[in-house]
Parts: sequence; structure tokens; C-alpha cells
Amino acid sequence: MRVIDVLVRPALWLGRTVFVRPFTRLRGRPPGPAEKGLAGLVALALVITAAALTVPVLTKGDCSHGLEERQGECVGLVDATYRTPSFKPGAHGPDPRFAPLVALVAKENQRVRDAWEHPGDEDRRKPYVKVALLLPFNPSDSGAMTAELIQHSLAGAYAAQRAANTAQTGVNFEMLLGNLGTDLSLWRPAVDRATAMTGPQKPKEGDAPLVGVMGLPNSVQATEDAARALSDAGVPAVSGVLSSTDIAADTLFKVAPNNRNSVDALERYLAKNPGRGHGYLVWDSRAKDKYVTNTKKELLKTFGRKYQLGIRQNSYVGTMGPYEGAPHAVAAAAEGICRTDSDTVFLAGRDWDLPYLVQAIANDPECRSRTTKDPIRILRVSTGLTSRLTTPESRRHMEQAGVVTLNAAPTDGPSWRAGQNAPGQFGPFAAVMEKEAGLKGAALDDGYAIMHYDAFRVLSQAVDDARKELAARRLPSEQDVTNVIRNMRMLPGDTCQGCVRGASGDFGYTAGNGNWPVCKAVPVVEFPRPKGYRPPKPYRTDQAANGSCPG
Amino acid sequence: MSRLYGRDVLLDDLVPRLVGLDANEPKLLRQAHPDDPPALLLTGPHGSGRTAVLDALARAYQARLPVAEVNCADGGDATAAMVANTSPVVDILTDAACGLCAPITGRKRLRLPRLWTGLAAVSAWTRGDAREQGVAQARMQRLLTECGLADDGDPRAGSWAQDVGALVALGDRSDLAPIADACVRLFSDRYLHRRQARDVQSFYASRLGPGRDAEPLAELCRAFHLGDDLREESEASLAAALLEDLRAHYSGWTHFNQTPRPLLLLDDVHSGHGSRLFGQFLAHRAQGARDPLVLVAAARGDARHRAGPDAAVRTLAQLAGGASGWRRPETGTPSAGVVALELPPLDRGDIVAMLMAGDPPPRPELPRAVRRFTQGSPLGCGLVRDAVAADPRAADLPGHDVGTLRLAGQPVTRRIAARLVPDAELRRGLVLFSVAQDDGAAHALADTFLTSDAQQAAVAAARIHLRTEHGAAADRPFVADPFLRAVLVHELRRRSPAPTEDPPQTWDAVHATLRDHHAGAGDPVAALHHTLALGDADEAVRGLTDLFAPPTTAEEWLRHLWHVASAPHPPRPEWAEECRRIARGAPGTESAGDYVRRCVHRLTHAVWLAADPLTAPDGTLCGRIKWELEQLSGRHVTGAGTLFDAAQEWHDELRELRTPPSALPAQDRGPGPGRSHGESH
Repeated sequence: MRVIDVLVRPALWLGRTVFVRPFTRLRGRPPGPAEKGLAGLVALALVITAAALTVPVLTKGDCSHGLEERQGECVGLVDATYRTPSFKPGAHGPDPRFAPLVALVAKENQRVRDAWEHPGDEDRRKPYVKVALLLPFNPSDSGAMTAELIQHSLAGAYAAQRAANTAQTGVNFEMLLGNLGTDLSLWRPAVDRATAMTGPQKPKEGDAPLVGVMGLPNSVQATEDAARALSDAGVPAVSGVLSSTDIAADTLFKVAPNNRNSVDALERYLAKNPGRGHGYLVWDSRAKDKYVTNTKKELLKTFGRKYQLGIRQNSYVGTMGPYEGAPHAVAAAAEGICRTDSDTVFLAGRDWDLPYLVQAIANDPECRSRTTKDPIRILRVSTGLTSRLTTPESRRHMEQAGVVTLNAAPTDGPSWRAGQNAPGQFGPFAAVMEKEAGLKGAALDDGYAIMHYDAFRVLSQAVDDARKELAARRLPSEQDVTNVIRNMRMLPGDTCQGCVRGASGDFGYTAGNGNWPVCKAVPVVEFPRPKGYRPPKPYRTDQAANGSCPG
Repeated sequence: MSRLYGRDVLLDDLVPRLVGLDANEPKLLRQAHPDDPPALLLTGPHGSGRTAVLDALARAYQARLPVAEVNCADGGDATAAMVANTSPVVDILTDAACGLCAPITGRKRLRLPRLWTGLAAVSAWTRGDAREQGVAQARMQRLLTECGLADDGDPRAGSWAQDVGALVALGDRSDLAPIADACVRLFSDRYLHRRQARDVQSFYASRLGPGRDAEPLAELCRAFHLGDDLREESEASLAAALLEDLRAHYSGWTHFNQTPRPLLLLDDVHSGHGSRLFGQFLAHRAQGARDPLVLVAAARGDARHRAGPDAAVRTLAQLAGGASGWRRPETGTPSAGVVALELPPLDRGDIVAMLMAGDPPPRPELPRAVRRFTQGSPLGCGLVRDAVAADPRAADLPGHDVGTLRLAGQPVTRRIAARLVPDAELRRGLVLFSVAQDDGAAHALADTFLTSDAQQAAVAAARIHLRTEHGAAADRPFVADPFLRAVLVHELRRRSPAPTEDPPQTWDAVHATLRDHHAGAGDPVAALHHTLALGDADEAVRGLTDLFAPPTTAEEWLRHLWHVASAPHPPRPEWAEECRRIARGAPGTESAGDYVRRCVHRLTHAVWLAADPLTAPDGTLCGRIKWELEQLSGRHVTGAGTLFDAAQEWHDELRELRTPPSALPAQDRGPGPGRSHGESH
């Protein structure tokens, strides 16, 4: 009864005001019940039509098709074929710094689809498989990745996609873009969509199964959770830059060496270049960042006793992540370094905190008044040379303070571009990068483009290899791809038995080592680069003492 | 009357619910009796406001729904009746069609193809008969223009007869069928769709039955022209055609949309053709046919008598809620579809509202006096109200009775008399006979005052008029209706004798004649009545005093007292004041004689004043009457208790403007609260 009072009476009042009174005034007579009923039906139809037209518009989030809104971000997996996805609600398209690359990916995806669905010539019809690139697509200076890193990662992946699609392999790759959220915590929608896209156990002709994902850039817990979810679904995941040994999942394959390997590379370097032997540890106190905790653990394990790092150390709050106190307050660490006259500083911290430390050391009065000519060496493990460090200003600071950084990294862009120790595939990589993605020179130095190129290559090479063993025109499933990756071997004596021939060098996988790459080169990159520098032969993972790999 | 007093239920409730449209607001109402609306028959005597009700309904619904108001007594022109292609019923139906098809705001005009075609067919004329052709031309022109079939300037409406004539081949001059056929053909071709024309043909074919349905409309026309029962059958077909047209129009979407139903207002259906047509409508419905027409008819007379045996007779109050309690009885007679209503006199509240609406309001005792005089007759009340409104000061003078009011230069009673008895000759006779007690007295008056032969039949004519027009059942007094009698008596009192009268009908001469007539006929009490009317109060008092003693019983004496004292007062302006002073026992007014004589003297004057219809007794006067009767009760040999009881009864009844039951002869009192109680004197 009350509901009737509340709903029906206003409706009747509205009906009288909107229909009955104007009708009576216009026609000079009141409308009959049938006319009222008809008007009601028409009104109802109008309301329904209006609702049908407006409700989708209103309820449609500001996110593009395939993405959903979570915590102010558009996350999920998007097929960038048809329209430009926007990863922030209400935004028009992705961040302008990598929007052209997204458009290129979309165009390539469309071409791949057309090649299968509307080929001009039946004989040139080419099936395709899907690969998902999972990254945080919303850049943030305090988040996991800056726009520049996203751009470089995307460029590397796109270049690899183009390279794979232009090779005469008989299969095309469509690359889907999965947004994981700024701090990677919103990975669930993207992973769910990806696992839902995998084909049946035996894909038939005409299917376009998703055969693997790549990306998953940062060593945080969310990455491991996402990798485990993918692993549970049997989807192979290839991470380009992951380095923390703590993160593991059955089908999570890494292209970069882990921190243990990198620290070994640093140890080998320090054995040859001992310096004055005064060590100091500066570490990021963010416990949730597995990269920094794992790096610190490995550094302490290897160098703690020798350099008395248990007492010669300082911590700070890293830039990346939620607020836990004033970030990058590294003045105290710089003071400690200068007071103790340390020349071997181990840094367990993210790339973008490094310039602050350099600047703090440069500004520290103790270090200014330093008389020795020996440089202060900051030793790190990383993917490459961060561009924040290579700015002229930063370079001036370092020279002024007498600071050099030594990065144990999977890539050595400056040397490789100069043709020193360059892997066999680096040349073609640099060519295709410049041609397809317009990236060249120092832009490759941070390593993200190289590593994501290689991650894509792992998948594309696995697909090609899997197809060789399958019947013609049948596409491999994600299990086929996983099995092939597991058996990409580097056999003793540098024998490449189905190994990955990546832009960062050849490497393979083996059972029992947590899917870390075998025989992956880990050069120690010095910056600023001395004049006439010739890099030593790099350390390789699983290298025997005599230098043969694997040993 | 600008407003209907005491008939609100009809205008605000019953008819709006039957048609489904509020009388004032543009608001639809749920239709009462949606499938079978009852025919409403309003009855009442002259001046009871029947026509006013119909006029008000017509005004309220004009141009809002199809409404036609037709006075059935208007037709019946003697010359027209001699023309073979018309009849009063056909005229009424033509009027009804024109009214119903008038334009309505916001809706399409009603179309009545069956009735139109039927009227066109019966209008067919014998070739060469100019009068018939003229009648047909006039009717068709009216139908075509007023029903919206032809525009005002359409030449085809004015050339109907010629157009029909052009269609007919030269042949037998006396044959009607070709003309009828041509009329129907022309009408169908010009104004009807093919489907409508087919429906019309099949309708009339089904009415006529097998054997006559080959050329149904020609047959209809032939039967109409033959006259008598065949004409009545044709008229019944036309009436049914109207109802069938309405049924067809109000089906489907129109019905579903609850479009307000058409309203046909038939006035004066007591006239011969009116009642025939009304009966034909009812008979059509009695056969099971259903139509949406809301029929409101008005007839003079008694509801039970007019409406027929199976009609539901209701009071106004019972009709509230759209006569919701009514259901057609399963008897299947025509009268079963009728709800009859006797229009009641206006009650106290209505009269007060009517008179006090004026500005400035008249003196407060006026409504009571008007109620007393008019007996609640709407006609009388309306004219008095108009008179008061016209000259408020005249009504404001104390002591002036209703009879002195004037309207537009004429005494209001004269205007009322003219409305109640429109025929001047008859009215003159009735004014003379109004003071007669019975037919014998009337004859005595006629013998004395009406000498020419033509006037000799006046008594019979007056008696017939009173019976038929005013429903007078009783023989005594000659004019039984108290309002009519009061008006006529006052006219007799007021007027000056016309010079043509021989001998002149003066007040005194008339009453002296009657006194002598009754004295000669051995009715001394009636003689005393006229003695008092002549102004000889002492003689009347003496007679009543003599009768106070045995063998007259107290009951008889009370009746005698009333009979004598209800005499009309003489035409003396100071009469009322004089009467009041005597009744009060003012000094110098006492009569000679014993105590009883003096009591009777005062009492007679008091009752005389109280019984006068032109004034209303006040509390003081009624108190006097009570007191005098109480005094007399102690002096009566046998009837002390009767007189004592009567004292209270007369006080109360006269106070309420009613005749005391003990003042009337036993046969008039009735078994219960009948006439004598309901009807104030």
C-alpha cells in the first residue's frame, strides 16, 4: 500500500500534468481511459527507449571496451584492434608518450586479423595466436614504471611482434595489452581475461588461442600472485626484467638474470678491481619490494662479512610505492659514506633513487673536501642504465663528486651499440627497433626494450618450434608453448639446443633452477664511461670457473 | 432560473454518471449502467421544474457531447398532419438527429446513417404534390446542413427535391416508389460510404422481416404513407434506427475509450406522439437491443401512472450514486427500462437559499410565507424570487403579503396563473370556479355568471383540465391543488371585473351566490364559509357558536371550524391587521355574548388568519389558537379531551404550515402520514 502511495500517486500526478491537462486544453475535452492507456503505453515505450539509450551510456564506465574501472584506473586486457584504449577513466587514449606505439600495435593487430579473416589471396591466409603484454600502463613517477620505461618496454615488444610477423614462419602474433594498475596490484582482471582466452587443449584451424603472456616487470608480491594465477591456468609467462629470486611460479620464465647472478658478477668484478676495500650499504627500507629486499639479502650474503656491511649501512624510503615517510632522504646515507671514506657503496634500491644518492654525495661537505682521486663506486644490480642517471646534469654531479656507478645488468647498451661484446642478435634488434618503433641510441641503454624484445622472442620462438612438431595448420596451445620453453637448452660447450637467441645474447632454460636463464651474460656496466673503455668479457650465469657455459 | 434548486442530484450526480461526463468540469466519470442505461422519466405537476431540469442539462452538455432537447408537445401541427410524408414523430426524430449531430468540441460529429436514410425515404413525396415536396425539401435541407453533411453554402442542400426529381424517369404520377428509391439512392451516393449504405439496407430489411425486405426503404416509405398502424410501424423502425446508429457509433474504440454517451432530452412525453415515441424507444430496448443513448424524458402527471407497471419509481435521494441500485427487471416489458422520478416540491432549505441569495436579503419571514403560498412549487418560488429581486423594497415592507408583489408591472400571482393555466379563456373560468367547493357550486356559478352557450361548457372544460393537467383526483374543493387554488382565488380577489362580464364577477357577488347555493342545498357550514369570505364574521361566529353545542361532536365542530375559517379573506387591505387584533383580543374588538361566543369569535379570526395561504402564521398566532381551544375544551359538553388534544395538535401543525389532521374529513386523512400531513394548506 505504501509503495503504491509512493510510486503510483506521483506517476498519476505526472500523467495528469503531462498528458491529461494539455490534452483537455487542446482538444476541449478530457481524454478517455483508452487514450490514457495508449498515452501510458507510448510514455512507457519512450521511457524504455530512453532507458535503453541512456543506461548503457551512464553505466558504461569511462573505460574502453574490455577494461574495467578499479580504483580510478582502467585495468584488464584490451584488444587494441578497433579503438584506442584509455587506461584512465575519462581519458582519451593512453598516455601521449606511448600512445603512438599503442596505435601501431593496434594497426599491426588489425593487419594480423585481416590476414586470417579477409586475406586477399587464400594461399596467403595466415593463422595467428595471441600474446598478452602485461604492464602497468599508467605511468607514475612513484609507481612501478615511468612513462619512458613503459614506452621502451612496449617498443621492444612491438618490435619483436613485427619481427616475428615478418619472418616467414606461417603464423602471426596478435599482441593484447593488459594493464596491471600503477602498482601492479590490479592484475586480476587482466589475468582472468588472459586465461579465458586460451584455446582448447587441441586448437583447431581458425582458433586464435592465447599462447602466453609477457611483461610482469617488477619484483613485487603482486607479480608473483599474477604469475601463480597464470601458472594455475597453465599459461606460460615470460618476464623481461624480473630479478628477485623470491618470485617463482611453475610457468613463470625469466629472461633477466636473478640478483644472485648479478651479485656474483659484481663479486667477480670486485675480485679484479678491489679498490680500497671500504664498503658501505645503502638500502631501500620498503619491505614489500622484493627486488630491494632480495638484492639486500644477496649483497649481505656475499659482501656482508668482507665489507662489514652489518654496521656500515644506511637505509632510506624508496620512491616507488605508497607513502611511508619522506622518500629518497638519502643525505644521512651520503654522510655515512663520506665519513667512513667508503669507496665501494652497495646500493639495494631502485633506479630512480640513484640520482638522489649521487646528488647527496656530491653535496656532502666531507666528500667535497675529499682529496683522494679514487672514485666512489656505487655497485648495483639492474636491467640497464637508467636514463635518469645519464642526463648531463647527473653526469656533471657524478664527475664533480667523483662517483661512478657499476651496474650488474643483463644489458650493456653503451658497449653493445659501440660493437663491443655485442651479442649476435643485437644488430638485427637495433635495426628493427629503429625501423618499427623509432627507438635508437641511448634509448636502448635502460635495457627495457631489449629485455621485452627477448621476452617476446621466447614466446614467438617457442610457438615456431611447437608448430614444427604439430600437424600443418594446427596451432599450438599454451601447454605446447610451455613444454617447448622448458626444453630450450644451452648444452655444455655453448651448444645451443633450441636455445633462445635473444638480443641480449643466447640463453636457455633448465629444470630445477626456478626458470632463470642459463648462460645469460651479466656485464657490469660502468658509468660514466671512461674514455677508451673496453669492457671485460662478461660473467655468464651458470658459468663454470674455467669460463665454459654451462658449467 | 439560473440555478436548479432542490434538483442537484440530477445535474450533479445521476445524469453525469449516466453519460459519463461531469456537468461542469471537463472530467470523465465512470459510466453507471454501462451496457443498459435506464431511461429516466421526470414527472410532476405544472410548474414543478421539469423543463428547467432538461434545459439545464442541455445547457450543461451543449457541444460537449451529442445532446438534443426536443419538446414533444410542440409538433402536431394540424395542417402538417394532413401531409402524407410527415408526422409529429418524424419531426421529433428530425429535431433529435439535428441536435445529436451538432458539432462537439474535440470529437468528430455523430453520424446517423440509418436514421438519415430512413428520414430521407419517408420524406418521399407523391409526384406533383407541391406541399409534400416542400415538406421534404425543408426537412432534407435541415438535416443536411445541421447534421454537417453539407456546408452552409452548399447548393446541393437547397436543390434536394430537384436533384431527386431529375433522377426519376417519367412514369406513373401516383407511384411513390420511384421517388423513394431515388431519394435513398441519391442520399446514399452523396453522403454515405458504401459500407454504411449496406448496413442501412440490411438494418431495414431485418426490421421488416421476410416477404417485405426486397426493397426495405421503399417499403418503409410506402407503409409510412399509408398511415395508421403501418405508419406507427415505420416510426418504430425510425426510432430503432436512431438507437441502432448510436449503438454502431459507440462500439469499438469509442466504447473502449468511454466516450461520454449521447443524451436525448424529451420534454412533455405525456403528449400523444411524445409518449408513442418514448414507448417505441423502450420497446426496442425491451426486445433485448442495447444502445448507449441516455434518454431523459419529462412528463406531466404522476410518476407511477406515467411510467408504467414495471418502472422503478424512485425519490431524488434514491437516485444518488447514478441510480446504482437499479437493475432492469426481467419482465421484458417496455416499462421495465424506466426509472421514474416524481419531482418533489422545493423544501425549506431550497426556498431559503433561493430567496436569501438576493442583495439586499429580504425580510426573514419571507421564505416562510413563500413556502406557505407556493407549496414549494419551483415555478411559484422562481417567479416570487424574481419579483423580490426586481423590487426588493416592496418585499421589505412589513405586513405586505406575497400577493402584493409585482413583476414587470404585473402582479406576480397573475403571471403565475398565466404560467400554470396558459389558456386565457380557461383561466378566466378557473378563476371564477376557484372559490367553489364542488362541481355543484361551480355549476351554480356558471349558471349565474356565464350566460352565453359557449361558456356553459366551462365547468366541464375546467374539470377536464384539472384532471388531465393537474392530476386532480378529488372533487372537493373544485380546485384541489392548494397552490393553484391560492393563486386563482387571489386573482379573483385582486382583479376588477371586466366590462364584458354580465353580471360582473365581483368578490361579493360570487360569494353571495355560493352562500345562497349552499344554504339552499342544505349545507349551512359551506354557507358560513362563504359568509366569512364576504367579510361577515359575526354571522359566521354565531353559526359556529351554535354548532358548539350538542348534538355536534367536538371532532365535527373542529372540522366545521376549519372549513369555515379557511374561507378566503375579503379584498380589504386592512383585513389581516384587523383579524390579528381580534384574535389577540385587543380592546374594543370583543363581541357581545357569552364566554363561548367570545372565545369562538377570537378563535375563528385566529384560524382565519392562520389558514390564509398568503401569509404564514407566526408563533404568537399559533399560541392564541392553542389557548382558545384549551379554553373551549372546558366548555364543551362531550369533547373536552378532543379539544384539549386538538389545541396542541393545531398549534404544532399550523406552526409547521400543515393542515391539522383533525381539521380534515376522515376520508382525507388517510391511513398514515399521507396527503393531509404531507400537503400543507
